[in-house]
Amino acid sequence: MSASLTEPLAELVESSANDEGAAPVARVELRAYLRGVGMWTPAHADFDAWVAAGMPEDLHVEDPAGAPSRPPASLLHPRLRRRTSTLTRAAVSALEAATGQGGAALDAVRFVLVSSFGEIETTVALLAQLGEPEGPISPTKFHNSVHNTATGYLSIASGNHREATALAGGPHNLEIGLLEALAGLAEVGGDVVLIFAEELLPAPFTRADADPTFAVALHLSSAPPDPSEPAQAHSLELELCVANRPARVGEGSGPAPGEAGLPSMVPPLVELLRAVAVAGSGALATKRPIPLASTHDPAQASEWSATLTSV
Amino acid sequence: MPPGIPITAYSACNGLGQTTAEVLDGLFAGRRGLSEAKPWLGVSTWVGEVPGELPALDPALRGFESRQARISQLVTVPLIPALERAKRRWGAGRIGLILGTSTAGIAESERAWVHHRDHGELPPNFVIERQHALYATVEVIRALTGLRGPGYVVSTACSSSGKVFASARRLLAAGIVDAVLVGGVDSLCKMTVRGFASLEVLSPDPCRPFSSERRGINIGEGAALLLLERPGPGVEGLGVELLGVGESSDAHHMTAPHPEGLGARAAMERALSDAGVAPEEVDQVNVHGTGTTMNDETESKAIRQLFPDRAGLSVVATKGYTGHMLGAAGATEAVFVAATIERAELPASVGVAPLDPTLEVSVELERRTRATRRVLSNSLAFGGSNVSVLLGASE
Repeated sequence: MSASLTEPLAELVESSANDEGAAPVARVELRAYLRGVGMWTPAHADFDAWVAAGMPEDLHVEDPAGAPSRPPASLLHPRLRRRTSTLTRAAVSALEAATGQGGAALDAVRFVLVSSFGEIETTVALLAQLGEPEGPISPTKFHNSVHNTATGYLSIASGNHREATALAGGPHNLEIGLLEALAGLAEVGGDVVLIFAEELLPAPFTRADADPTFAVALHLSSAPPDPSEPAQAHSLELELCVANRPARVGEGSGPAPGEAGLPSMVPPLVELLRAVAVAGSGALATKRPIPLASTHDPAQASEWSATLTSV
Repeated sequence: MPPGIPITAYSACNGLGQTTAEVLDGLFAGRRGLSEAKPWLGVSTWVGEVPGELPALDPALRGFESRQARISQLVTVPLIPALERAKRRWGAGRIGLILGTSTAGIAESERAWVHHRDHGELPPNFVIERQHALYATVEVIRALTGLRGPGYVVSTACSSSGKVFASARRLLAAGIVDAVLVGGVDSLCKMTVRGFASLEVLSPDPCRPFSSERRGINIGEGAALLLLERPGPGVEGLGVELLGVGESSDAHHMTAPHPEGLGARAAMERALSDAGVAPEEVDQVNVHGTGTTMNDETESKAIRQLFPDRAGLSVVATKGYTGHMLGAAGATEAVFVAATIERAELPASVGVAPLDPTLEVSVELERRTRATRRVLSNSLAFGGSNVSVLLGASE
């Protein structure tokens, strides 16, 4: 049983340096139209409020005008909404804004949710219940603790029978969300709403390097906006291109697995959103590729980046 | 009709054993891999627990110590020779890693929470991104294999490791990768056992899917991995291919399936249309078959609707062997299906007899010789998340 575990791994796995030299990474480019963007954070009720606040990287920054404390998530029937977490409400609110701007049919889009810790408030509340050997467990909290809770409620609220998925990619959250969404658009076309969301880690798991509570939604489409369609009158007119290049080598071996601290998807996401705001305002879009990974990761052969152009 | 994607290697561990050979021997011998739940789980039920002591983690992975990481290592190490061949063929950067999990290492967070309550601090070896985070399972298997393509977790509860096949196909079709290691890993914890107990769907006895005596589910743990490679020179498959995948949402309820099995039917239909395969060409369905009253009723309805002439259709329920492995169920049952195609044999659907006659589905009760060539495997989940994976014999 498992005799091969006695052999050192180094003999089983070729060094990554060797296969990097043997097989350079092929160039891949994926494109889609970015038609709408939505955001909710405790400090910014929507994307425009964040832009008006100077597009801060720190999503914690309090809006001096006063901010809503709970995401509205008006798409959810109150009967559903009262059971849901901040994460689910934030995701729904961001989605509503993105699809309202780009003019997507809510019952026909596909949902891709990306989060490192998902429904962590609900999960930790359950850990407290589980800490009592004989105590009751809330069945509602239990089914609301799954990573696909928000997409489940979204499909129910919008009568959407299409595929929906919920992913986690650690330092690669932004990249794997875009790859999944854009590969899906290349495969079957149509519209995808890609949602990035986190909840602040609750006690006793609080960490200084944890992401704040936020949700950002991108409405991506295989088709450009149609200005003659009233629902699309306010659509962004941007093309998003995601492409790779070989990972940088010779910059040290990087951190060992799990030693890099909590990877935050906020800095690369904020850079992408700033580019969206600039390009969406009609100013010249930056041609500089925006790196999608949170940290330099020597374990992956490709570094992925995004560029935005006006259409 | 897209070409099939050959499966070139697979591996599994679960309540039936620590190795693929033990697992498949148990499956075809009709041996259940279930045992009474240990006291720490806090519920009187049966579970599918990986037997024996799990081998220690490689020293490089010590920081990831958890039952989840040990199961991940156990299922990965036997595939390393096949992965080395695939790396030489495609380059490590052209091989993706897409894993389903629902639990990840939450059992460690359960212990950490109690430790914090009792001692005022988290255990010194607890680091949330290594023990608890979904993505840690990718980091463990990436470190063991040296795969350098895109890697991520699909976590949609009980459909997680069925949906990894859909994501893998998307990355292959888009030219992002040439091969993908897909699979699922789940580990026993209080969260799922007591959580499903709170929903009143746990069976106090070994589970009996599709039986008139069924009383609910057993939770199982374990893992399965399958290597999918783009067809090409030197790619020697096992004679089994991924032909299609169908995903759907019930849009009905967070835990209860649609009463008419609408989502399950849509997932199966989409898998078939994806592959250009007609319903009459399907000769086996590996059902989700959890053993709850509701699931088995609605899934049966979906099967009856899609296959009204059921004469040539073998329905196989395998959760009586492993329990419901949640985030690892889809990949595990894909391995079971692959083995039935390779061996031209069907396992007994253990625990089913006496079959519930009201379900009006003919379930395979005894092991028998039968070559099946087009097989659907269903996984249905919380949030109304459904997937059906179509595997087939290579032409």
